[in-house]
Amino acid sequence: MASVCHEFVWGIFMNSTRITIAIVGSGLSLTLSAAYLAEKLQYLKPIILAVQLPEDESDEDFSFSFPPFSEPISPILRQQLAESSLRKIDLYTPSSPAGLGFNFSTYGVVSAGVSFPQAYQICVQNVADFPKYDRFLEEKAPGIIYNRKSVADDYRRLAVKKDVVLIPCKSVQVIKDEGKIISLETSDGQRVTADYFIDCSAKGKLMSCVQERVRVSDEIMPSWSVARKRISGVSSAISCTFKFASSQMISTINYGHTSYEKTADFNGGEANAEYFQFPWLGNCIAVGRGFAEIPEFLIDLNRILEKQLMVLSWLIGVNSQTVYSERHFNTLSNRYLDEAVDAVNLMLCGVGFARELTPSNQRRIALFQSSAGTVKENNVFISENSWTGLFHAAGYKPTNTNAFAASTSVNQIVGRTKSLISR
Amino acid sequence: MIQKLVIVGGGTAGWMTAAAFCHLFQDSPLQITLVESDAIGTVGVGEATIPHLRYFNERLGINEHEFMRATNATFKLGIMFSDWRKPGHSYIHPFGEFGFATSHGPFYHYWSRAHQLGLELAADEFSIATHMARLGRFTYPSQNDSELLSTFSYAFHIDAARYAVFLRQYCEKTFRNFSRQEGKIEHVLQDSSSGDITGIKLDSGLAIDGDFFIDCSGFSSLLLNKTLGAKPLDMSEYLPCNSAIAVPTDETYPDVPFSRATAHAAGWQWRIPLRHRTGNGCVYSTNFMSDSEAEELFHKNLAGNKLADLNLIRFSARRMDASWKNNCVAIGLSSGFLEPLESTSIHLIQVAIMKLTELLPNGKDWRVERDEFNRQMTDEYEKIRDFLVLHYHVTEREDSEFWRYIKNMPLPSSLEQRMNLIQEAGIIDTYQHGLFLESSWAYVYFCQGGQSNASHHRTHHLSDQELLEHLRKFHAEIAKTAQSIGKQSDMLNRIYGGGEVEKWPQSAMSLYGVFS
Repeated sequence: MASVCHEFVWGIFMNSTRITIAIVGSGLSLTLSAAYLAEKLQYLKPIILAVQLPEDESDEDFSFSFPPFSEPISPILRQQLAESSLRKIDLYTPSSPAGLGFNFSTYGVVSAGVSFPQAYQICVQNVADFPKYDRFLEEKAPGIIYNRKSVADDYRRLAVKKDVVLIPCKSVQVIKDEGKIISLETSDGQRVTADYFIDCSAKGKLMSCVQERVRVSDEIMPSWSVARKRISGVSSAISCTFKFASSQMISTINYGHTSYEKTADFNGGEANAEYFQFPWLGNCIAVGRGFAEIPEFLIDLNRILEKQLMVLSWLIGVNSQTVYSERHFNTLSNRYLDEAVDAVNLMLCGVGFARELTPSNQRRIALFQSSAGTVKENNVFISENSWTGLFHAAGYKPTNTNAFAASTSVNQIVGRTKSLISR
Repeated sequence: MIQKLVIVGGGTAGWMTAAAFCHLFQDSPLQITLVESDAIGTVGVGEATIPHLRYFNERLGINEHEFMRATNATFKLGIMFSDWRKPGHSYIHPFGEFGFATSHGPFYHYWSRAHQLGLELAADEFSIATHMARLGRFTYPSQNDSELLSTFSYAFHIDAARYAVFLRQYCEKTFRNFSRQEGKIEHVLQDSSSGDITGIKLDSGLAIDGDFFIDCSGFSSLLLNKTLGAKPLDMSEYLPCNSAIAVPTDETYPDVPFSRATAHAAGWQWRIPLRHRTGNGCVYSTNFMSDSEAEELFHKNLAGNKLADLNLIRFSARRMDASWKNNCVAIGLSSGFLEPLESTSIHLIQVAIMKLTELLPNGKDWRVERDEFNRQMTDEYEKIRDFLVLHYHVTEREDSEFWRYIKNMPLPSSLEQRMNLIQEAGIIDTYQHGLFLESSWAYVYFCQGGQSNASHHRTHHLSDQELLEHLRKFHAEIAKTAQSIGKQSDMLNRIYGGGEVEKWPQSAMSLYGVFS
C-alpha cells in the first residue's frame, strides 16, 4: 500500500492539472476536514490526500455541538442523532444555577430601548414564574453530545467514499524551500506533494516549520493541564478537568454544567494558549488544532475548525492569486479565535484563574456592569444574547440597567418579553 | 436617572428623537423639552428613506397609512442609478434579496458565472423589486417566505418637513411629559468643572436647564461642536462632493416607485417623486464644477415648474470624532454628514436614536456607554462611507476631471480589501452590524460594472447551459410576477382616498440589515 500510495501521489501531481490538497492531522479534525472539503470542492475535482497521524488523547474525547449546527459537522450529527447514538442535552439559560446561556436565537428587541437579554434578566429576577428557559430553544434542535472518535470514523468512511486518499503514518517530515512547503516525507518513506497543505495536526506540525506560534499572555490565559475521566452513569461521557497554573481546577465538558473537582489525575503535560498569527501562509493553511491551542471548554477547536473550513471552501481553488483570500481567511480565523479566547478568558477571570481580561472583554464587562448592555460585534459562536448568559455564569452582575428599563414597570417588560417569546 | 432631557433643534432629527423618547419614556418622570425656532429653516433634503424607517414608525405605534397621508408619501422600491457606470447606462439598487440562495451558496455566484458565460441580463434583473419599480407597480411584500413576493422590502419618499410636523403633532397630542419651546439659543450654560451642559438661554431670556442634551441643531452643531469642541473628521478625500442645490417642482410621477440618482460630470442629481410634488437636487464638487455651471446643468435636467427658490447647501463629508461628549449626544447633521446617495440621512438619525435609547444608562456615569455609542456610530458611518465610495469608484467613467480623480484616488483600506476580495475570489465579505447586506454590495458592485476573476466551482453542479437556462427561466418568472401586480397609483389612490386597502405588513429588517 505504501509504495502504491507513494507512486499514486507523485503520479497525479506530476501529470494532472487538478489541484492537490494534502491534509495532515489525526482524529476528527482530519477526517472532518477531508470529507468536508471533498464535498464542497467536488466540482473542482481536487485530489485530496489525508495524511493520518497517530491519534492523541483528545481524539477520544466527547464534544458537544450547539444549535444551529455548523455546516460541516451537521450532516453526520444529524445522521447519528437519527440513529439515536447521540445524547441530546439541555442548554442552560442565564437563569439556571450554572448560568450558561446559549442561543437565545433571536434578534428580539423587546422595545426600542431594551434588548431581549436585558429584558429577560429583568423578568427572571423579578417574576417567580417567568419561564426559566427560552422558548426559542424548544423550536430549535437541542445541543448534542458526540463522541469524537465515533464521528471521526463516520467522516473517515465518508471521505473515502468521496475519493479521499488516506495515508496513515507515524510522523511526517516537512521539506521546505524559502518558507514554502515543497513536500512531506512520511515516517515510512512516502513523499507527499501538493498545491496546498492543510494542517490540522495538534500544535500545527506543518505550520510550525514556516512560522512560530504566538503565545497568549499568561495573565489572560494561564497554562493548563487536562485530566480526563469517564463519568459513570452518564452515558459514556468523559469529563475533562482543566487545571490551571494557580493549582485551582475547573471542570467542564460535562455538557452545560460548570462544577469543580478537587482531585483528578493530571498525567498530561502542561499546555499554553498559542496560535499562528497567519493561519494561511503561502501554501500552508492551519486549521482547528493546527491553528491554535486553547483550553477546549465553551468553544472547542473543532468549532473553529468548522468555521475555518467553511470559509476556506469558498476561497481555495478559485483563483491562482490568493493575496486577498489569505488576508480574508486570516482575519476571520483570528476573529474566531479571539472570540473563543474571550469566552474562556471571561470564565477564567470570573473564577479568579486568570488575572486579566482581554481588552474586548474589558469593554464587554464594563458595559454589562454599568447598565446591563451588550457590545455589538460580529460574533459567530456566542450570540449577543448568549454573552449575557456568560457574564452571569462568570459571576458578573450589572450594577444598574439602562434608563428605559428603569423607567418601565416590570409588568410591562414581562408582558412585552412574553409577547416576543410567543410570537 | 436623567430627569430633564433637552433636544436642541427641530427638523427631522429633532422630532424623530422627541417622538422616540416620548414614546419610550411615557411612563417615566422624564421631562422632554424640544427647543426650536421657526425662524431657522431646516435642510430637509432627506426625502427618500430606506425600509428601516418602517420599523421606527412601527415601534412608535404609528399607522402607516396615516403617516403616508400626512407626509404625502409614495412608495420606494429602490434607487435608479443612471449614468453612473457610463453615460446612457442605468440600473436599480432594489430593496431586497438578490435572486435566491441555494444550498450551494448565494445567488451572486451563479449570476457572476452566468455573466462570464455571456448572460445578457444584468444583476438587478433578478430582483422582483426592480421589475415592479420599472413597471410602476406596487404591492406589499408577501409574508410567505416561499413566495417570490416575499423577497423584497419597501420604503417611502416623504416630505421630510411634513414628517417633522406629523411627529410634532404625535408628541404634543400624545404625551404629557413633552413640551416644545420656541426660541433661538443665545447662550449655552456649562458646568465650570466638568464642562457638562447645564442649560440653554434663549433670545427671549428664558433659561432651560437639563441633565442631558441632544444636539439636533443641524450643520451648526451648536452643542457638540461649538460648545463641547467635538472635532469634525473630514472624509472629503473619498467623497469630494461638497455642495448641493435643491428645489421642489410641481411635476408628479404617480407610477414611479423609486428614486433617481443621475450622475453628471462632477456629481449627481436626485429626483424624488412625492405624491404632490417632486424633490430635486444637484450634488456636485466645487473643486470640479462652479456653482453657476451646476445651476445651469440642474435647470437643464429639471422637469416641471419650480415651487420655491433654489436652496444652496454647502457641506462636506464628515463625522464628528465623537457623537457623544459629556452629557450631550449629537443626532443627525450635527453629528456628521454623508451625501444622500443611498438615502442614509434619516437612517443615521434613526440608528443614533435606537443606539442611544438602548445604551443610555439609568445613572449619570455614562462613560462606558458613551464610548460604546461612539464606537458603534463610527462603524456605521464608515460602512456607509465605503458603500457610497463604491458607487463612484467602480465605474467606466473617465470623461471628466471629477471621474478621473475618483477612479484613481486612494480607497479606504476596508473598501479596498472588500473589492479586491470580490475581484480575486468572487466573495462578498459580510458583517453583522452596519447597513447594507451582501445583496446591496452585489447589486451595486456588479451593476456598476465591477468584475470578478473567479467563477466559483460551487456553482458547477449546473452545467453552463443548465445555468443559463435556469437563470433565464427564473428571470421570466420574476418578470411575469411583476406584470401581475397592480399600479402604484392605484394603491396610492386607495390609501389617500380612504378606500379599502390591505394592511401593511410588519417590517422585515432581515431584507435590508438588522440594526440595534
